Amino acid sequence: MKLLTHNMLTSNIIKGVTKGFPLKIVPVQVEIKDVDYNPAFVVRTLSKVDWPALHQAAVETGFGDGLPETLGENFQQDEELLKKIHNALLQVEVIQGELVCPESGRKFPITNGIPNMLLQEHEVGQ
Amino acid sequence: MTESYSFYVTAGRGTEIFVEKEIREKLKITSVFKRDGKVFMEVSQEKLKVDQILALKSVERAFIAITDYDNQNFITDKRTFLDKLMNEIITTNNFSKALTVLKQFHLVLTRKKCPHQNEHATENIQPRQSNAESLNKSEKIISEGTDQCGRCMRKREGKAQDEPREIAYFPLEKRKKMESPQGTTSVDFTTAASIQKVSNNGFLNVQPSSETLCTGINPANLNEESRAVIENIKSLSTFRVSVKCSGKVKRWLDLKRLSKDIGWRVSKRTGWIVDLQSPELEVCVHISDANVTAGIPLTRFPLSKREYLVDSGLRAPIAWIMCHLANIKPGEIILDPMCGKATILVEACTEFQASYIGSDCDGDQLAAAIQNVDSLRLLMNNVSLVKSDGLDMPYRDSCVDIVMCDAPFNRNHKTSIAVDEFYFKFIHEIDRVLAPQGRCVLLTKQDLKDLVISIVNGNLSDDSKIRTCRVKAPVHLSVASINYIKLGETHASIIVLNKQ
Repeated sequence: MKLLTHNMLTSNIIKGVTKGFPLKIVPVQVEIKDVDYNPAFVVRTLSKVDWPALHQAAVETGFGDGLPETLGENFQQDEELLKKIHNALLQVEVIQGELVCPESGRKFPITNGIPNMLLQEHEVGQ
Repeated sequence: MTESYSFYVTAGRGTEIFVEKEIREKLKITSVFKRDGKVFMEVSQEKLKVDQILALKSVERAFIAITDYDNQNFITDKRTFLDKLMNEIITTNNFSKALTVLKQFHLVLTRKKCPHQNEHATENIQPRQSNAESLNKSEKIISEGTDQCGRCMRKREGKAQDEPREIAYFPLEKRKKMESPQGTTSVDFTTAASIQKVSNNGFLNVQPSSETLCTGINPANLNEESRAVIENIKSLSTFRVSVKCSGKVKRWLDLKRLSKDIGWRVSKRTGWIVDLQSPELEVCVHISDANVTAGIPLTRFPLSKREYLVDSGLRAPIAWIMCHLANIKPGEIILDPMCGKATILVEACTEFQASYIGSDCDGDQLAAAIQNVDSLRLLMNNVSLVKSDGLDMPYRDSCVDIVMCDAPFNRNHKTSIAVDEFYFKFIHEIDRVLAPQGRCVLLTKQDLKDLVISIVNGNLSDDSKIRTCRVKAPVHLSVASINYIKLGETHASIIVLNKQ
C-alpha cells in the first residue's frame, strides 16, 4: 500500500464512524519501490492529497524526516522537499502491518501490500 | 509512383471507430476506412512502419492484405463464387509483396513478441520436404528427440531445460478440435494415408497454438552457421490456409476442401510449401456474404495479447478503449472499485502516467491482479490494490478524478443484491468519491444501460425495486456518451459520465 492510497482510505464505512480519517498506520514491514521522479507529477498529485494525513502517515512509517507539518506556499520550488514528498507519497509501500480506525479502533490488516477493508456484516452502516 | 501496401486489422464489433481514430492519430495516415469488424489502411512505402501497426492497442490482429473484394455480385451460385475467388488468388501479386514486407520487418515482428527466439528459430529448421517425408521426419523427431538440427538444437535443449518442451503432443481428435474453433478450419493437405499413419501412431507433432508464430531470429544470438541455415529455409516459405466463413455461402462450402483448393493455388502462384504443423505464414481467408478478405497476419499472437497481462479478464483492446474514453491526464487519480484482475488499470498504466487504485472483494481476483501489476515492474508502475467492497467504498468523498469499471453484467458476475438496487448504490458511491469535473467510464451489459441512465437522470420508473434507497439525494452526474460494443456474443455499452 502506497501512502497515496492510504490518503484516500477512510473507515467511515463502519456503522457509527463519521469521519474515519486518517487511518493510523501500524507498520510491520515497509519497502521502498523505485518510481521515476517527476516533479510536475508530484505537484499535480499533491493537489489531490490531504497533507496532514500524508504527514502523519509518513511519520508513522518512518519517512517523515524533513516533511513540514503544514505545506508552505512555495513548496514547488523546493527540489529537496519535492523529492522527499515523492518518496513518501509514491515509493514507500507498507507490505505488512495494520490500519487502525481513529474512532472505533477497528483494525484492518495489511498483507502482501494489500489492506483488507472488508467488514463483517454487523459492522456495516447504512 | 511509389508503391503502397494495404493492411487491415480486425477489431471487436462497435470498436472499429476507436481503431480508426487510433490509426489516424498514431500512424498519421489518412487512407483509412472501416467496415464491420475490420479497419483497412493504405500505407505508402516511405511511410511504412510496421512496428507502429504492431503497437496499436485497440485492435485484435493485424494483417497484410492479399485481396479484398465485394462479394455481393458473386454469391448468385457456387460456381460463380468459386471462380471469382480462385481467380483472385491466382492473379494477385500481393503474395510476394506481402512476403517482402514480412521479411523486411521480421526482426521487428518477433523481437517484441516472443521471448524464445532461439527455440523457435531452431524449430523452423526442421526440414521441409514432401508431405509424406516430412511426416516421417516428425515421427522421427518424436521418437528420437532432437538430433535433427545439430548444434542449434543443442543450444535449444540447453535453454529448454527449465521450460516445458515446445513441441506438444496431442491426439488427432484433440488437435482437430484445437484448430477448428467455430467455423474456422485449417485443413490438412497431407494425404489421407499419411494422416492415417500418424493417427495410428497416436500423436501428431504440433506446437501449442500460443507458442506458434515466431519465425524471426535474433541474429545476435546465433552463430554464423545456424544463421545460414535459417536464411536458406526462409527462402522456402511455408504456409497454411485458414478459412473463416459466415453467411449464406457457408451452406455451399466444404471448408476443408475449399482450404485445400486455395492452398493448392497459393502454392502454385508463389512456390510456397504447405506446412500445417509449424508454418511460417498463415493465409487467412474470411468469407461473408458481403465481402471476401484474405491476408497474412503480421504476428502469430493477436496484438491484443499483451506481454504485461499475465492473466487478463477483460479483453485488452476494450480496456484500452475505456482508458481512451476516460481522457486520463497526467497526475490524476484513477479508481476501479471492482477491478477484478486489474486489466483496465494495468492497460491504462502502460500509456498514461497517473496514479491507479484498484479494489476488489475477491481474494483470488486480487491474486491475479498482483500478477498483472507485477508484470509491469519494469515500466512505470503506479497501481495500488485494496481489498474492499465495491458498494461500500472505503474512500473519502471527492478524492478521485476518474472511476473506471467493468461493472457486473449480472451473468457470470452476479450482483449480491437485486441488480437495480446494486446499480443505484454503485452510481451513488461513484458520485460520492468523484471530485468535481471527474469522469466515470463504465462497461456494462446493453440491457443495463437504460437502468444506469435513469439512475443518473434521477427518473427511475415507479415499479423499480429500489424504493428504499430513493431518499438519497440526486447524483451530480450526467451522461456524456454511450458507446455500443460487442463482446463475443454479448451486447454491451461503454457509458461515459461526467461530474459537475
